[in-house]
Parts: sequence; structure tokens; C-alpha cells
Amino acid sequence: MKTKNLCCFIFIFFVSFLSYARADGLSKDIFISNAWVQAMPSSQKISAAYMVITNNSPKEAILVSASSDIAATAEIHQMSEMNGMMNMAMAANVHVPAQGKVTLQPGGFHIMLINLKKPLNKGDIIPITLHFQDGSNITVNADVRGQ
Amino acid sequence: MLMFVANKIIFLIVLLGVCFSWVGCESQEKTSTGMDLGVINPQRDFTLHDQDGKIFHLKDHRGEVILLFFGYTSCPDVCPTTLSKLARVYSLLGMGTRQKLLTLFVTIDPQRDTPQKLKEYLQYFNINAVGLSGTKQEIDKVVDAYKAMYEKVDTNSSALGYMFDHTDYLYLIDKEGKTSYLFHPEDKAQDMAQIIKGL
Repeated sequence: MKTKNLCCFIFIFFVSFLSYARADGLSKDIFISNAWVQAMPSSQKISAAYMVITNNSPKEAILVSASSDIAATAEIHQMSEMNGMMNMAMAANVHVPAQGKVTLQPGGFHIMLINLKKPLNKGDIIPITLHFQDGSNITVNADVRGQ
Repeated sequence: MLMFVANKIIFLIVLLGVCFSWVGCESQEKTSTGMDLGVINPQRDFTLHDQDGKIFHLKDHRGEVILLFFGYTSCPDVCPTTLSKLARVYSLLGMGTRQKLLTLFVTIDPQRDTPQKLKEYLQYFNINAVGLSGTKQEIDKVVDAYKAMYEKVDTNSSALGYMFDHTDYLYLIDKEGKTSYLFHPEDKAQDMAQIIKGL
């Protein structure tokens, strides 16, 4: 029983570690946590990535683009309610306030992964690189969640 | 004097009772979205084609509880999030209720959503669901009947091609075909399961 609990703890620790990334370079005070991607049927060539971006620096950080080996294209999009409908539009950037955070979540900002190169199955870990306006990059390992 | 006080107390109890019953009636009319259910679904029936190419009539499903959703399989955010939540709702229901709960996914993108694509997509979410399609006119008729909305958006700057803005309600239709509740994306799976169990 103790061995089982220990295995569970190690597994949770490992997954938490994988979905947590720290930046190098200018954005060393930016931390990404709870990064995940929506699992999709194999016939689907798109999905969305979500995460929390925390900025511990005294300056605003601006996310300007993203990329991933798993998709031909990654774009920043934002969902919002407009005229009673959910509207999705490309966003030029995401401003992360100084000493603050922004949550990319369903119904809000997210990173669209377009033309997926392989199916996304629950439990897969996929790398996503975030590009910031100051030229720094952060690569985060996001776990695939869903069915 | 005693009679006067007693009469006043009885009057107050009756008044409170009337107030509570009025509040109760009001809350039955309200939905999580605040939309007036009185304007929805006057016909209690519609006809489309299912994912196997057969004609689907809503009236053939009396005795089943229906969850109706308008979406499209290329939808990257709202639709998969909603269907994933529905998988949790189904898991919270007993076998009897689960078997009598049918999800209808009406595509607003018949151009890309072939019957086969709809079938594969819905099977993935592991719920008792049927994909429905038709001509644009047939789909629009159902969309209008339920006071839903959608709009095709061409995205020249995005690699996605075109997308749709659309309403994100889930319509809960009772065993007699009457729309009895509207679920909003913010509604919790546990709360939805409780309401469904009550039908």
C-alpha cells in the first residue's frame, strides 16, 4: 500500500514538474504552470493549449507568438461573448502585467494548435514554446487532458 | 385581543406562503442563462439527417431526455469543452438515466462535417450522442426554432480558414419534447446531473 502511495506521489510530482517551466534570458521571472492541451479525436487536426503565465518581474511581459513541433501553426486566439454568441478571434498578443498573471483557459485566451502532425491522446506530453516581445522564449511541457 | 393576535399571525403565515410560492414559480421559469423558455421550441419537433444518413425526427424520441447543442467539429474551444463536460455529466448519472439521455449535436458546418466525421468525433467523447446535419436551410430552421444563433467568420489572417461564432447553450428537452432548461458553459457537471435526474 505504501509503495502504491509512493508511486502515486512520484507520478504526480513528475507530471507537475513536466507541466512547469521556467524561462531563461530576459524573461527569467516568468513562470508557466498548469499547461495542458485538449485531447481530440484523431480525425481532428486542431486543438487548444491552456496555461497560467505568471510574471514576477517589475515589467510587463508581452506574449507575441507560440510554436510547437506537434503543429504546423500555433496562433494566439481569444474567445469572447459578442452579440450573444461566442466569438473567436486571433489576438496579436497577451499582456501579462508586472507582478501579475494571466490564465489561458477555455472561453478566454488560448493557443490554437493548427494542422496537428499526430493525434493528441490523453496523457501525452507535448512541448510548446512561447515567444515574448523582449526576444526571450520559454518552452513548456503541456499534458494532454480529456477523453 | 388574543383572537386579534392569532388572526394576524395566520394572515402573516398565509402572506408568507403566497410570497414563497410566487418566488418558487419564478425560479422554475428561470434558466442559468436567463433566457425566457417561453419563446423556445414552439413545435417540439424537427427533422434532420443523422450521422448514419437516416432521417431523424425529434418526436420519435419521446420518453428520452435530450441534450441539444449546436456546434461544429472543427470548433477548437467551446464544443470540445462542452462535450468533455457532458462526458462527466454522463458519468455522474445512474445507468437508467444515462441510457435515457441522448445528446444531439447539430452541426452548423455541414460543408465540412460529413456524417462520418460527425460520428467519429462524437464517439470519441464516449457519450450517448447522435450527430445531426442537413442542408443549410434545414439546419437554420432548427437553429431559428430554438432561438440559437451562429455566424460564419472568414479568417484571412489565420491558418484556420473559416470559423463560426455561435451560441453555446445546451438545451435540456424533457420526455415530452418540451425544452425545460438551458445550460450555460459555466454550469457545473454536478449541478447539470442533478437537474437531469429530476426529469
